[in-house]
Amino acid sequence: MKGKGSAKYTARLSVLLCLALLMGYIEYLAAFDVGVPGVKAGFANIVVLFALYRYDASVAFGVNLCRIGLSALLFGNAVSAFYGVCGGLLAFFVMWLLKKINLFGVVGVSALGAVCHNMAQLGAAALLSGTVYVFSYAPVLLVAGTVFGALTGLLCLFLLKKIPENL
Amino acid sequence: MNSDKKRIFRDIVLIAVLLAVGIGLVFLPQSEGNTVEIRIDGELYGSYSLREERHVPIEKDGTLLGTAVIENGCVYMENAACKGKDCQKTGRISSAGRCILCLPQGIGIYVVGENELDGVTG
Repeated sequence: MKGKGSAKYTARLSVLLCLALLMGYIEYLAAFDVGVPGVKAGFANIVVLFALYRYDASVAFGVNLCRIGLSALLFGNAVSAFYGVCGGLLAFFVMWLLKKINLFGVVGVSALGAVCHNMAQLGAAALLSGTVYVFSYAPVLLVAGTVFGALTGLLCLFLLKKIPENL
Repeated sequence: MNSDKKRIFRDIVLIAVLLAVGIGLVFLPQSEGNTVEIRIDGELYGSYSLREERHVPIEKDGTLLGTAVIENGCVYMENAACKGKDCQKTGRISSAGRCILCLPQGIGIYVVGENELDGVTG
């Protein structure tokens, strides 16, 4: 990866950030409800994961953090920002670590990342509500995270194969 | 190439394990609750039997925040005044240890069992 201050680096980061925000917005518009609070498809993670695998951790982290901040400003509030940061940071850290260890492929990394994202948000809910009762949602969120994480991971794998490297 | 295949295999195993643990936990036997506790910002608002059907209006400073409906041994939220309505989407709960949270309004509706232990393990 060429210099971090280069125009190419900045442009790439911006395009990815736009895409990630769009993904989040589409999800917000589609508001596709499974009936369980907190269950989302997590399309934005496709972009973060793509950046992590195609470019490097700094691009992916930048995209992730800016996306969380901007989407909280655009569609959320302080509470949703707190949830976003908790989930986003832990998920990113785990995915970055798993990629380094190189034991799993994109799909597995995505699934575990999604599960960690959900568990971090449960932790945040426990903190905000001051009760451990929220952990009764853990099983559902574990299954949902695995399923949606694997699906978004598959989509990301597809994109990594289809989008030319020199773009 | 070979290590790619190994990774795919590990991915499948990982996903299967995660799903198995999750589904196993979902079907874990749960103890029936018998009391509904409603809290606003952690303060106990009221405690009601899960066996008696009733509508509990949840009010704060004269404003209706929502209504907890106790019916057929279940409790659910109705007319929530929050924006996201996550609390209503939670649906009916009946097992000890389950809860309905309305984080924007600071409301918690908890189903409590025979003793606190049930509440934690449920």
